[in-house]
Order: sequence, then C-alpha cells, then structure tokens
Amino acid sequence: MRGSIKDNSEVFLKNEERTNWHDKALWFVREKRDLAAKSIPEWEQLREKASAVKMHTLSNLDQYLIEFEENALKNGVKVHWAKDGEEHNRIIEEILQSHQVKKVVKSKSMLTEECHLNPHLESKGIEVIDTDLGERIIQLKKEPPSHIVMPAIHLKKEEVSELFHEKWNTEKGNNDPVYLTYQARLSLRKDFLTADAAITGVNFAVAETGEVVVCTNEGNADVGTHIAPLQIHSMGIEKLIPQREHLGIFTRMLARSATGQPVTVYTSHFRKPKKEGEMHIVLVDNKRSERLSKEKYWTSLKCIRCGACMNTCPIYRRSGGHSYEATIPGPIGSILAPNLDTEKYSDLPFASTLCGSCSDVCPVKINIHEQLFFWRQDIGRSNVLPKSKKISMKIMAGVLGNPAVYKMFGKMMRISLKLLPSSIFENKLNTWAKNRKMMEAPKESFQEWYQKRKK
Amino acid sequence: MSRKEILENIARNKPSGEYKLPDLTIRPQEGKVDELFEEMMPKVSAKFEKAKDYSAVAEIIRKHFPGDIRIVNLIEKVKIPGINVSKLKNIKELNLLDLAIIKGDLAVAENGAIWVSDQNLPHRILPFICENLILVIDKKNIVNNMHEVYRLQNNLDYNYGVFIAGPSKTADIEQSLVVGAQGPRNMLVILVENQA
Ligand code: SF4
Repeated sequence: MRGSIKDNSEVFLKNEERTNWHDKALWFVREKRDLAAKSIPEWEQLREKASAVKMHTLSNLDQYLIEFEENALKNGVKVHWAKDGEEHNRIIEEILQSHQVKKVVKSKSMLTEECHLNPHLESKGIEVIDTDLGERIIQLKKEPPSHIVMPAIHLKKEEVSELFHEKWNTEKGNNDPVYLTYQARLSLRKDFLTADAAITGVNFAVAETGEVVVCTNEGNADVGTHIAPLQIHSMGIEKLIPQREHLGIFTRMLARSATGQPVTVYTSHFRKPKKEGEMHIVLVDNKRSERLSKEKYWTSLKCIRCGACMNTCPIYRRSGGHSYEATIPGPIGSILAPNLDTEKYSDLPFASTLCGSCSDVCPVKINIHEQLFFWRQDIGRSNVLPKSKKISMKIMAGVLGNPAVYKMFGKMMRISLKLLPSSIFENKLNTWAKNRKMMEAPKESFQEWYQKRKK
Repeated sequence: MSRKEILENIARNKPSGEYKLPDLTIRPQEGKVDELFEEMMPKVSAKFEKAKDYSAVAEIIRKHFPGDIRIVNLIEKVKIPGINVSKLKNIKELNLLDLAIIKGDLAVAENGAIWVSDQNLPHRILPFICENLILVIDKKNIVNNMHEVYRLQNNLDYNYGVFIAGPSKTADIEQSLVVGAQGPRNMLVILVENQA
C-alpha cells in the first residue's frame, strides 16, 4: 500500500535539522537557476518558443514519430515500440538475451524507473549498474531516487561515506565529496570496462534526423555507450522535437533550469551505431497517448524533466521526494501520477499551496499549479477517495477548488513571492508546510471569506 | 501490434487545435564572441590558453604536460608524438590514457561548449576515457549561441557528435561540485588565433 504524502512528510519533518538542510540545499539550486535565467535577456521568449515547439510536436505526434522512425531506420538503428512498461522491459530483456548480456551499465533515465526495468532485468539474472553517481548511491542503498536531477539529494555525505565503506571498503569516516566521488569513479570504471551493453534515457529525439540527444554532466552515458558493443536508448514518445534547429532552444534552457549551469557538460547526439556496434531505440507510450486526449492535462507532456519545479516548491523542499511515493515527485509528479492511477495518487494534487512558483520557473511553461487545481476538482467530484479521506478532501476541493477562492489564494502567494525577500517568504511558507495546523488555517479563513462574499 | 496501436491512439487523441512552430530568430548576445567564450572557461571549470599558431599549440601542451605520459594526438598539425590508435586491438587498452588532444569543429560563446564529432574521432570513447583532455579550436570557429551553432551544422554529416563544456563533473554528494566524475578530470582549451 502506498503511504500518503501527508503521513510521509510528517515523518520527514520530525528531523528538523535534516528538513532545514534539505530545504536549503534545494533553495540554493533554485537561486542558481534564477541567476542563470537572468543572464539570458530573451529567457521569456525562449520559454514561449519551447512551449510552442512542444505543443506543435504533441499535436502532430503520430506524424513526427513516423518520420523519426523512418530516419532512425535509415541510420541503421533498430526501432521498437512499447505500449507500456511491461512491454518495454520485455523488449529490452529480449535484446539483451539475444546478445548473451550478463551485465548492463545504465545512465540516468526516469523512464526506466517508471517502467521498473532494473528489478525486471535482475530477476532474469542480468546485472544492472546505475552509473550516474547519485543513482549509483541510491542503488547501493536500495532506495528510489528522491529527485529527478539529483537522485540522492536527500542523503548526507556522512551517509554516503558509510555506504561506500560498507560496500567498497573505502576509508571509514572520510566524508570528503572529492574522495568519495573518486572512489565511485574507480568502481564504476571497472563496471564500464566489463559491461556487455549500455542503456541510456533520452532528453530529446529529432524527427528530421532520427537522432537522440542525451545530456549528462558526468559523461557516464558516453563512457557506457562507447565501450559496450550494444547500446539501447529508452525514450517516452513525448521526447520528440521536429528539427535539429529546435535543439537550440532546449539546450539553452535545460541545464540553466536544472542546476544553473550554462549547459550540461555533455550534450551527446547519437545518430548511427558505432563501427561494429549495434544501436536500438525503444519508444514507450505507457499512457502518454491517452493523456493527449485530456484537454486539461495534455500539456504536462511538454515536460523536459529539468526539476526546477521541485527545487522551488515549498512543499517538496520540506517533505522530501520520497514522501510522494511516486516515480516523479514534486509539482510535476503530482500532476503526472494521477494520469497513471487517479485513485492511488489522489492525495498528491492536494500537496501544494498553489502558489504558482512551479509554473513561473517551468522552462516549457506548463501551467502546473492550474493543473493541480483541476485535479483537485476532478478528484473531489469522483469516487476515487477512500471514505475517511473523502470528507476532508472534499472540503479542500470545495474551498481550493472554487475558482474565485483559488484565484485569490494564487494571487496572494504570487504577490508575496515577488515582493518579499526570500528569507521572509521562505519562512512563511516553511511554517506553513511545517505546521500541519497551519494547513487548516488558510482553509478556514478562505471559507469564512468565501461565505461572507456569498452573503 | 504496439506500433499500430500507439499511432492509432495518438491519431485519435491528439489535440485538434492548430499549434504553429515558432519563429527561431533570436537576437545574439552582445560582445565579441572570442571574449565571451574565454569568460565562460572558468565557469565550466576548463583551463584556457591562447596560441598564435599551431606550433605554439605544441609548446603550450609540452609546458602543461612535460612528463613521459601516454598520449593520443589526433591533430596532425600539432607535432606531438603519441599512440597510434589505428593499431589498437581493443579500445579498452585506452583506459587510464593520460592525455587526448582533439580538434573541436565549432565553439559556442554563450556557454563554452565545443563540438566534437566522429568526423574527427577514430573512436568515440577518446574524449571520455582520457584523464586529461585538450580541445583545440580555431578562433574563426567560435559562434555566438546554440541557435547559431545548430543552424551552421544543418547539413553536417556525422554519426555521433557531442558538445563538451569543461571536464566531467558531479554535485551528487551534498551539492558540492567535484570535477572529474566518469569522464576526464581536467580539461584545457587552446584557442588558435592564426590557424594557417
Ligand atoms: S514541469 Fe517544467 S519545471 Fe517541472 S520538471 Fe518539467 S519542465 Fe522542469
């Protein structure tokens, strides 16, 4: 059974020191993002264009997929189609089995996480090594990622040191990130040299040329794919863009939004297999095509997985990614998960102040906070909530689901975001998120306010 | 099967509104591209040197790497002896290579990224498997921003290509930046002012 974000975050909040530390670490990334965005005078223009390219592609997705496939095939790449996670895992398993693969190195991919590829392959006797440092850490710790860009952001260096000591016999008590990173490098290099295949995610796929683009800082996707004879790229069908030229918009925004870097260290373009190598691309639907029909929600497919909405979200920062118990946490996760299973994830759209900060930072202009609000309405109206939850959620949906109230609430939060120095506003929201009683407070006052207005 | 099913689902479900592709003209940033590019180097943790010509490039490299080390040099004009990669039986022999010297085709002023493609690479792994990487670029090949570089590459014929901005790095342990993740641990960019 999935725990609710409310209960989970209460546990997270019990350790106040850690909560504050987590909060600060993410706020720091958010500030770096702001500086990076400000350094580009045409930032807002870029957001408009990025959004437009994505909307255009999504509304013609079948044609672009056909074009992409045609060009990829011409490039000598093998293309596979998977309607869900299960089929995706089966396809990859078959490719690997047909090459007698014993060991795979994998670079970061939220999609393979979504499909639960690792446990599937492991159950078939194939060893999977995650090669992004953060992912490797949580893999060794047997935990899911808590953030889509910084998967181990919830862990302290002392914990990483302890873990490495236990697994690799590194120096006990040496908590220096430089030392720890080097030890991981040594261990991973051995894996790269002994792997039979490499799997990567995909950031962008270009219909016009059939190439896939993968962005990393560590270089792990490249080290993996260039050494192993067999390379497989798994991608959600929404990763497509029409032309190479459109990459200019997205590569300018991705890293700046994610970490505040001007660009990721590596932006790798894979078109054809290497000499004597084999290259596969697996196109995965997993309910994405279904989401296209949902008028209020289809634009969530624009997401380029930069993580900016998480770093800025007061709830995420003070709840931790694991509290969501969803593959993708944070604001975007809270509007994606209900598409996959509305009942299971019915609490997530309520884990938000609707302050709108997520929508403000989103490089592809997804109206995240509005979609959260729409989900509240839909969930409140439907019968997906268990009885006990239903009553309180219904009240919330009634209040926060009322357009007038919602507008007012959103407006106030937006104004305070813009006007108050970050320390004050952070403090305010922090108290809000920290103290569960406060969660009721705005509800009451808005109810009162709304009642008065009705009279 | 799934291909047909997915495509049919999309055709049925896709939004019917008309969403046009945007215009891609974007004003370039102000300033000289070579100066902007140089400013980016420390920001992406890369070392930077200028050379007046290719013989000066070799001198700079010898100054930075004086010892007897394993080198792969892919630039003919740079007179530095190294391992002959065409004779390698297995690319894994390149593990722990001390230095790779590679030509970058184009460089981007706004973010310090340099384009390297397999048109210049006998093995794709070369810029990644070395401990130290030197990328050499000609001053005339610096462009303003990513829009410009993609436009220039429009008809470029490559099988694999990568923008490289600095040595590999990670901040996965408590957000502290560590240079040297899975790729090179050091990178030096040499800008050649007169490529003749
Ligand atoms: S919703 Fe927007 S801000 Fe959030 S991860 Fe996706 S692209 Fe980034």
